[in-house]
Amino acid sequence: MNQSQLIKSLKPKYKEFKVSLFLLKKNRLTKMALYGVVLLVLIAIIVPILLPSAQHIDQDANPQQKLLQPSLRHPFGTDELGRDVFKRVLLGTRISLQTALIAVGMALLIGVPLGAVAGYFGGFLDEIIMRFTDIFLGFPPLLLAIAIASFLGPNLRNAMLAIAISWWPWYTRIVRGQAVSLKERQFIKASKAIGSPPRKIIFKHIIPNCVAPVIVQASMDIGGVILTIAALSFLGLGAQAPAPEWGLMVSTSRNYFLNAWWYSVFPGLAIFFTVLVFNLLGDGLREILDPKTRKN
Amino acid sequence: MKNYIIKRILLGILVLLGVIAITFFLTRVIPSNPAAQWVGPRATQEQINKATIELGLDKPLYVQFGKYLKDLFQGNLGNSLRTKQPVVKELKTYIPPTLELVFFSTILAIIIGIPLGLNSARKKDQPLDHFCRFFSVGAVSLPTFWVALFLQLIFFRWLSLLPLGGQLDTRIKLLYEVPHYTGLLLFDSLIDGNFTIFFDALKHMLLPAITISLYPIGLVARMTRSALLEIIGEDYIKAARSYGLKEKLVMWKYALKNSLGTTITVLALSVGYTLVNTFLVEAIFSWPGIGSYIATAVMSLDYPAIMGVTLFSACAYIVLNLIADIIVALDPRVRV
Amino acid sequence: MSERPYLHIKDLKINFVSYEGEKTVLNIDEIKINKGEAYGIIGESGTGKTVLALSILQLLEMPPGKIVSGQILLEGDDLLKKTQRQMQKEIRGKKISMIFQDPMSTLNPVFTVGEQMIKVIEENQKLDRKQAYKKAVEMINTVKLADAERVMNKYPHELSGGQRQRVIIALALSCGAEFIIADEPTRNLDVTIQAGILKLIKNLQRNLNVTVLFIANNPGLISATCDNAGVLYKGEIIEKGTTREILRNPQHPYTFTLLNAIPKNKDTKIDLSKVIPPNDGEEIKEGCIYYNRCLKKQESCKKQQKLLNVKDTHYVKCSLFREGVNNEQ
Repeated sequence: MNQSQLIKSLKPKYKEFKVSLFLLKKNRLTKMALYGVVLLVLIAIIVPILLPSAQHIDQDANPQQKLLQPSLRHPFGTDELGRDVFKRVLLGTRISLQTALIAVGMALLIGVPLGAVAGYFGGFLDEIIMRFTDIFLGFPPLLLAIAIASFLGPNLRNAMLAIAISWWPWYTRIVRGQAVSLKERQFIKASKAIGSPPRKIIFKHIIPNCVAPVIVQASMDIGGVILTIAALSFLGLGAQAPAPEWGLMVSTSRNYFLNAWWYSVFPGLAIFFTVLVFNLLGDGLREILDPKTRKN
Repeated sequence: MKNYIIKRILLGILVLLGVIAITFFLTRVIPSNPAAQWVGPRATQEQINKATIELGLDKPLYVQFGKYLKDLFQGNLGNSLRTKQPVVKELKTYIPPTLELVFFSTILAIIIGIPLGLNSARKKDQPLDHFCRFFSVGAVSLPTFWVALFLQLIFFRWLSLLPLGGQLDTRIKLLYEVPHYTGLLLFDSLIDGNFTIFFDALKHMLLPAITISLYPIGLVARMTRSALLEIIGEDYIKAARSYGLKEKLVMWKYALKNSLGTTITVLALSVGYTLVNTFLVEAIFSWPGIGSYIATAVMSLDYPAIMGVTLFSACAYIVLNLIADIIVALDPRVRV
Repeated sequence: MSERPYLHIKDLKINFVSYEGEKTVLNIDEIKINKGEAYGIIGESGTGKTVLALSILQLLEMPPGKIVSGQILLEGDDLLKKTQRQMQKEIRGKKISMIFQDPMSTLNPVFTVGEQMIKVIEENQKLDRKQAYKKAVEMINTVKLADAERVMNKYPHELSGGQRQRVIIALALSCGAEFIIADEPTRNLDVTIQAGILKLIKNLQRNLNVTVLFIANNPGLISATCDNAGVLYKGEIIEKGTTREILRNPQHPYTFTLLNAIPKNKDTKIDLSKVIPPNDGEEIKEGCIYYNRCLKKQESCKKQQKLLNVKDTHYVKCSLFREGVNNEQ
């Protein structure tokens, strides 16, 4: 019908997209970070297909070759069971990216609808939801995840859940802010006027229009989430042996690192590189999309 | 102003209660058999039954929560499963070393982070700024626990400059009587005037403090930079320069004082990060603080101990944020 | 004219760099200001008046600003060649100081008025704190603010707009500079307060023999304070001369309409047809910058315009003048 066309035509248009692209091209560091992210995603997808055998500890372990120095054969050396550290670091990419993505996804699933509901309805409901987010944000970062993960039982699935539970309030805050301002926009009012139910307005109009800022925030958070997963695994609350998880590898390496530096240095560098690349990308994205810095 | 502060305090109390409620849910509601979990895997059926009554698990939830609150206010956090000691008593010995570490690295964050952010803002888009931005993003991207190991490799294994861990050298512990007034070793040794202990303690603190200060340094530098960039564009900075005031005075007094609100807020946040980062780092440096305590507790699934540290850290964090917000609100000259 | 002017701006061209490319914001052929005189710059907002003021002190943000060419000579010394450090040590506050236009944002919100004044006096007059305090009180009295000691202890947000503007003037004066740039010092003030402040500046100029560059958007203010003046439009000086000549006998169509926008007495009504129409004509790349808004435009206006001498010190940048198309008044 014409009505829906009218509503569509009133929606905010993203003509600023072009400017963003221009800024991205100009910002060299952000562009390199983007390439880094693409590289990591490729590694995460391809390496586990190329190295199926390395995923099984018994096939890859070689006690005769334990704790060997880096060499051409083993660029990152070998670990205490004689496994190739390089292969395991590459394999770890998928675990880190996948868990981070799922954890952020779950946090979004909780946080976004809550924020939209709070912002759209306002009043008492808003007050209750926002005080709830205040309480969850009352924990210092990481602490809640540690507590939840230890009570749920130490494994990677619970670690993801723990991260999602401690992370959702951030998204609720952002989406609520957006929803409050969207609510006053013409296309939402028009939609209300033709009698769309709130459920439809929230899911068809409000949430889709919050996508841009939420994606920026999520991309900035991925780095932090990867770091948190590694930290939980390091404490023994995340991935369990023999998974080639970076944090876990650093944790195991503690018993050997004084005489086998490569064992702890390389997995740690992998964490650092991955988190850095995501943080740089997130930082750059924020700068590009922030109207304040945009003007200059 | 007054209204804001009262509202802020009420919110702080609400958050505090909320945090306690969450910990209650974690310990009593989520586990399928809380009593069994509370007394540990090796407990007999008899012990579990006893715990059930002690924790009031046979009663309705709201009664349990009431009892939980009452226990909390009486300072009863249960007994550690590992050591069988009351958690509160153990916390008392573990908190001061951690505070010392957090304090020391917060100081580092202030004296390194603020100048870094300030100079970066002053030289925007110049090499120093690029370096500072890269450094601050890098600092928040580093896995702390790995940095700890890496620094040990460099300064202990390769350069033999600094000790591997602990708070004091064993020889010194044997030779001297280690003072114990506040539990803050650096402070206590100064009270005694024992500089041998003081410098040895300082040497031991260096690596862990540097390790956990990296994150706050990056955070403070970044926030100071962005706050100052906004302030530098203001008319009053241009005016101050037009009066011929020295650049040092303009930046370090005129501009920096205006960014104080941001700095205080960020510091509260960064103390939170530092506190939790000690959980990852203290064990590596055998530092006898709550970080080591909770790391061991996590390994042995010592739930009362985990809860004790969680509650303490969350409360400290909430109070800190509350204080920061009130300071910012109280001073009419400081604006966020 | 054989004497060297106190401030001499020559061929100054300043661009702003943005995503759309470079845009010229200031393109001044020449401004000469003699020692001890008050020189006025008239122009509507956005014509580059503040850019001019800031670039004299090298306080223009660069980027986006960019100096393409030109010189700003202060007693023969090119200010644009000086480093920021030299500017701070030798020029700013020592020789030149500036009265900013916005009383709300020019004072530092986290220091008391007294603190800010004492800092400025300590820096520029090499006095100790006690003497500086005395001097500050004296300066506040000079700008006719009652209860100086009390004002000293106040934070800017505790003062009214007029009080703040006086404090800003006191600050600029307390540097003890011999040249003061006043950038629309009365822009945000009530008319009654405006008059007081104008009088103040004028008196200071006469009594202390300071040179003043007075920037305003209202020709009336200029006529009250200045000896010589220039009209700035889109970054170019399109007419200059003595204030009398410009106000009595404007030659540029823009100056003419600008003056017409002010009622002369209570009986005359503003003739709206003679007031500048909004930008509606075609833009031209070369030629007169006023072309698209000019009511008298002709073919010859599309050529490069030069400053033409009208009489004595009176110059105009309009080719219509030579062609004898007189501006009827």
